[in-house]
Amino acid sequence: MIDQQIWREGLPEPDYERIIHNVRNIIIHHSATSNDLTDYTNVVRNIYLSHTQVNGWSDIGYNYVIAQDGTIYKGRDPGIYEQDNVMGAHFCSSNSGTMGICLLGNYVNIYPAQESLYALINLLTWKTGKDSLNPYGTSSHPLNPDLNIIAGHRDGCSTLCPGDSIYEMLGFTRQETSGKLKSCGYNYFSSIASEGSLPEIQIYQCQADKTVKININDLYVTKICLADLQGRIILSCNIHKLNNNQYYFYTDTLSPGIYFVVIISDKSLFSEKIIVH
Amino acid sequence: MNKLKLIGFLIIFLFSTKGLCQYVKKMTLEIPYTKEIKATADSLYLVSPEFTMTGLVVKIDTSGSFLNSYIIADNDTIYLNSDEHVTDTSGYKTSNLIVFKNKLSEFHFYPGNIKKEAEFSFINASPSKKVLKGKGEKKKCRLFRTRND
Repeated sequence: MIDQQIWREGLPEPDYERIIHNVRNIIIHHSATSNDLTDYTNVVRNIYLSHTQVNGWSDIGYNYVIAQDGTIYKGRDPGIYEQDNVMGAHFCSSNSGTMGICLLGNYVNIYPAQESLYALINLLTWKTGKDSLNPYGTSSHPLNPDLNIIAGHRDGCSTLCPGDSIYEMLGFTRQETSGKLKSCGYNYFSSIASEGSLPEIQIYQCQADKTVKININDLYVTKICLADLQGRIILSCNIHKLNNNQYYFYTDTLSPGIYFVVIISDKSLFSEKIIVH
Repeated sequence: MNKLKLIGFLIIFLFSTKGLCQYVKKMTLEIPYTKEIKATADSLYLVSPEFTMTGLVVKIDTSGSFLNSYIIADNDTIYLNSDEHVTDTSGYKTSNLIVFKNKLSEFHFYPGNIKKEAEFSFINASPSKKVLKGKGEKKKCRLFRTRND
């Protein structure tokens, strides 16, 4: 991912009061610039100057920009805050609760390159996993009461953006994002937890014997595993069952860091963060 | 006298520094006639803003239309369309951003359905000499290390 300090080098830095918000909808755009351009950093710099000095905006409008070769540029400068949670300027003057991702190029008639599409799916997987957003879900927005969690710019107001070709592929994008989330062990579908009957899960870490114990009530567990920050399952077979409600595993073979205990039941999937010292 | 000279130098220095930091130059062209552009053929104008540009945005009155308007740059014909990312409350209609393959100092413009004036914003996003110099130095360092490894 290309940092602002790199692509913006030599251009004036934005200086303004950032607005930080929780993202409920991820909005996909295209830049409507030529598909023949290969100096992607130059395109991003031009977009930045056009947004800040021609449109008079505080910063580049999007949170992320994806080039045709799959390179992801960090967009709006969040300052000391998180890149994905700084409010941008991209969605029909109603940006609250939205994160903007722009694919460089014009996709009215042509389909995006595979590299950029898969960079988009990876970014969507990361963000939906991080914020427990359902790729197939909707979230109410002032411009659209049934706005998809993964939506196109045109779902908010009258515009061709993100181009017919990308818009057609949003279903595929949701499907791929959902598939990747499943393989990463994230919870994203309507679950008993979201309906208010959160099962009781208690996780204890014991430094002395380097074990993690898990107590689960009111849930038929089919599998428990441990995932790293990238969502890779690193322990699935070495989790032992003490009795019907209790499980444990050893942490002595793990490198220090942050992990997720992933609990899969017959109806849903939960993850809890643990820190191994 | 010396103080006056010093002030004079400072003013010149400040202006020259400001010139180096100009990323966008704006120019309004009246159609069909303007002093800044020359008619070369049937309503095709040569636009020479005396500014190196990497990109371009055109603003017109909201009642106007970009229909059939285009520019010719680098042997490429690029049509102007409305930028749908700009919700304009300023009384302008803004074109899509045009980014050129190479830096330009002039291009041809065909106004099409633009009947009144058009405000051109010429964008120069090319890296400054300072940035390019820095990159060159880094490259030299890498090469030096490789040879010694």
